[in-house]
Amino acid sequence: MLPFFDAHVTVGPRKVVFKEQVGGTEATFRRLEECGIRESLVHHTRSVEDAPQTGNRLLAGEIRGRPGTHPVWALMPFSTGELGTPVEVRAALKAEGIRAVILAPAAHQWNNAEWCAGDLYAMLEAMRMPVFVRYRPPDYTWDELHSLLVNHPRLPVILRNVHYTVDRTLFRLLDLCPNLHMETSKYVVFFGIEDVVRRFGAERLIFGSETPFLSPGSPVTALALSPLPQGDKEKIARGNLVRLLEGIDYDA
Amino acid sequence: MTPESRFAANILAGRPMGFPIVDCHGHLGTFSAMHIPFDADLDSVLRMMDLYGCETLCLSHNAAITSDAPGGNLLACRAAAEHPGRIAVYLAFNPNYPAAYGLADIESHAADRGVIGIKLHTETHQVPAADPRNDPAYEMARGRHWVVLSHTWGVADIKGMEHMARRYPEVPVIMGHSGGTEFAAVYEAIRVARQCPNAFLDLTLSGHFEGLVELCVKEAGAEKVLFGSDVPFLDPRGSVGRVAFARIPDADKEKILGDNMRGLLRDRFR
Repeated sequence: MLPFFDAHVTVGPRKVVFKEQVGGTEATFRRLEECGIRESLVHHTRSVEDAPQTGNRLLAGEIRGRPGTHPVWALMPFSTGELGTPVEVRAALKAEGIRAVILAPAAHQWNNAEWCAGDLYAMLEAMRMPVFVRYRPPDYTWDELHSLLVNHPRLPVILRNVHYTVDRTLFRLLDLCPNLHMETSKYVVFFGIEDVVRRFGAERLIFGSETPFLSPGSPVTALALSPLPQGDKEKIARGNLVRLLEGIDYDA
Repeated sequence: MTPESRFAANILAGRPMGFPIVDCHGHLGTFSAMHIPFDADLDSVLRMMDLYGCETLCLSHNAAITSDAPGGNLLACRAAAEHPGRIAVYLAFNPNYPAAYGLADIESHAADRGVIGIKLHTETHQVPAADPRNDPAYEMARGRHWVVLSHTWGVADIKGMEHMARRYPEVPVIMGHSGGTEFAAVYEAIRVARQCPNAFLDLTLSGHFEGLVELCVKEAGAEKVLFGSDVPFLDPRGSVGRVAFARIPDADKEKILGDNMRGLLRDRFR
């Protein structure tokens, strides 16, 4: 059995839900366990669907004392000071043991260019903090994502919501930017996992499910039924994410 | 926690599924909008079928659902002839061409081994599901006891399929994608499957919404739900997982993963 560490789990209510979806934090983690997922990176829906400070504050209450869960915050530039000064934000990330952050410029209405968010990017890069982003405009266009990756080559960036029609652009970006990784919950290309491993190695793929919105059984099965060597599957299921998390330096 | 489902337990243990899947929705060949490894050739699809435990894949060729129905239909029939029992064929009908043109092509393959029905694609051919230009395809399906699989995306497509299902009650109609990613369309597809005895839900979808399988079973009945994957547009293994780990009894999973479609193929699949 593969040791799954899920990089994409949410708690909290959503604006739009599908009938019959699992409700509540307890049910979400029970469902993950049913699907063989024992560890997870978790963010609160309201850190994206509301202001980051609101959702970030709610997250701890949802996952405190729950083994195998690791908190993820949403961040935004320091311009308004809603999250504090850079020094305060860095201290809070350390104090709360935040293991990754989400950047959602579209939801939070900030400009993702260097002139607006460069100091935030630089701080996260210095900390080697894993950052989740989405490529779809208006979050990051491909050009904007390329700029982020090139300007901050030591920033570990994990792409979410990777659609099955983007290989022709994505592969060039993977080629150019070793700090780019991709999360698997929406990557449903035919033999796609095997193809990415063949071209770029197993180190670029990070297992994720987007539970409770998507079925955790889907990415579990996609990897479990893969003919890849067991070592590569273990890297994708857990090892690659652990490696990124171990690289965090809160005091850098 | 140990999964109660033998399907889930097998997957987690790295064992084969242990059940002969019949996939109601597949393809072959390249496509404009995406890179598909191995150019989605027949060998790669067969290799994938072995991985996800697929005994029979019901497919249409991508050329046939886009610009070249005759060329694609020919390739699909060749694949079925080379792999009897493993490949079943939906012959694509493009309603933009004069009906006689498409019908003549379909007629020429009607006796080919593995042909089970007709594929309509409302999106690539840009013809609504209930457009009268589709009537000849349904007439053909009725006359030959075939099934019709139509792409559906959105409420309008589902309403169109309901119209056709009621007009042709002898023809089993499969609502491809069950309406797609718009929740309102999925709910509408479930209603149609519940109300029309000859209408079936197809689970093919790139977004594996949690709870979708359970909702379909609860509101339409497991007998009206078919496993489809869109292989090789999509990787089918995730689609299998959505069913294998669904919170429904294994008996219902067996119906969805194969027995329901096997029932539709009976007397049609040679």
